[in-house]
Amino acid sequence: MELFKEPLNHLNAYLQDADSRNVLRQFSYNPFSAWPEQSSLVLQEETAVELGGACGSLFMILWTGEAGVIRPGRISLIGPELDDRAQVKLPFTQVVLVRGIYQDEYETYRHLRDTVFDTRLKGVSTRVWPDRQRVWCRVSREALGQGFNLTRYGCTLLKRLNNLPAVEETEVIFATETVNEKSLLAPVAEKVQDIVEAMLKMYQEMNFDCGSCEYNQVCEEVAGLKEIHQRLQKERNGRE
Amino acid sequence: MSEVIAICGKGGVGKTTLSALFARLILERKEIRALVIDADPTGGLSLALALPIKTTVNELRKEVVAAAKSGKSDARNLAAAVDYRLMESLTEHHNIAFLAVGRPEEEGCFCQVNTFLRRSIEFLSEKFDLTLIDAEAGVEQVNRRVMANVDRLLLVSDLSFKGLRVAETVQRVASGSACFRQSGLVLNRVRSEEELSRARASTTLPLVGWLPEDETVYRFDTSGQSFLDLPECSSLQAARPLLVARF
Repeated sequence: MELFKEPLNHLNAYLQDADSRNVLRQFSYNPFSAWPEQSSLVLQEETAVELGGACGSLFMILWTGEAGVIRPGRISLIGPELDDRAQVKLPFTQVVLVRGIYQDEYETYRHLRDTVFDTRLKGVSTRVWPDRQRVWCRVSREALGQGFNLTRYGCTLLKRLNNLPAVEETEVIFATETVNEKSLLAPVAEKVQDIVEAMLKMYQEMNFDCGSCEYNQVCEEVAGLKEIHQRLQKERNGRE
Repeated sequence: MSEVIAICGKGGVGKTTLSALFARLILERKEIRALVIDADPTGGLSLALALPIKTTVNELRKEVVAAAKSGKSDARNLAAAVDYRLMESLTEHHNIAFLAVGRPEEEGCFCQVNTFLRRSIEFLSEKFDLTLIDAEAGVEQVNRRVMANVDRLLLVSDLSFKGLRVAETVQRVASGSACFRQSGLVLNRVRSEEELSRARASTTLPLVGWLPEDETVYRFDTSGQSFLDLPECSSLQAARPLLVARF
């Protein structure tokens, strides 16, 4: 079952477009470049760079079981790296892509999400507001001075995700570009959010009345959601 | 390690004044990072410090309850939303981060949301050297709505009979809930040694400090000037040893 087939295709097209605009840089995952992990709170006064937050942000996690969709170990950066930025505040997009062998979509979502949410970085505050697809990072002057950058952040995320048993391949895309990256990704983001919300609703509410469900159309479009729905309905009927 | 100080007492005795003096003193100590929480629904500390309230904890609670009711989110996503919004709700001023609790509005039982909020405030508080809470009345309110444990409970009173009795009551109730480590009385608007001795003799509470009647504080209070701009004065001198007891 492929929940994110269409958004993944769009993301590929987006990366190709960024490449043609000469704004795409790519790095390879190196586990030794991962940043030390430690829960931190960075105050405004201690901040060297602020990513996302009020500046605008986008956060997504997508997964697939299909081979050849994820470029393993690739860290893509669209826009300036932290040490070549011109501004203190930058918009921020963070997209995590994973390939693996999954039995249950919700469990997969939970594992991937919790792994990403629990990533604590020394000298960096990170907050994610999943229902609004928002992300907010504050990088302290100390962390920046010690060499923290988005490549190292990417390596930390991928290292954590690669440790999950079902995960086979991982990739991350960051965008700090001020020219409208968020609006270019808006249709993908909307689709991903609809799929995740529909899935959460199925697991949270167990409402099987499709006629009255606001996500009816999303389920019609995304085959994977229909499969989850049918499986959950079967499980519930089996219990009654 | 982070320390939590809660300032309690009867209304109008000077809790907010002491909290504002502490905030002003924290600015002097740049090595200390402090979370200052206005837990009084009237929001007096925000006015005393001239720090705007972005979103109160209770407004945030309403948002999260609405998200929980929509069924489009699960527990972890709600907890993450609370963390994010809490961070956004902080008003920062140098080494101070200010948070207002706001007016409580009960909308049925949303224990899970209340728990998320309290845990998030506790988690946030751990990242600061000092958390200062200007409380509404008793420590049980702090305990229920803000955080489970307080290190130092400062009971503020003026020299009035009622003020002292309320401070004793708060102490008694708080002792029952065993949610603080130390407590002590701070007398406010003391005009003479004689008044101080009389008040000390009329209460069983241990006196840990006192603030004099202070013309500068009165002037700032009546003109609405920020206490963060308060010049050196007798009240600041009297409050300094109380704040730095641990630092």
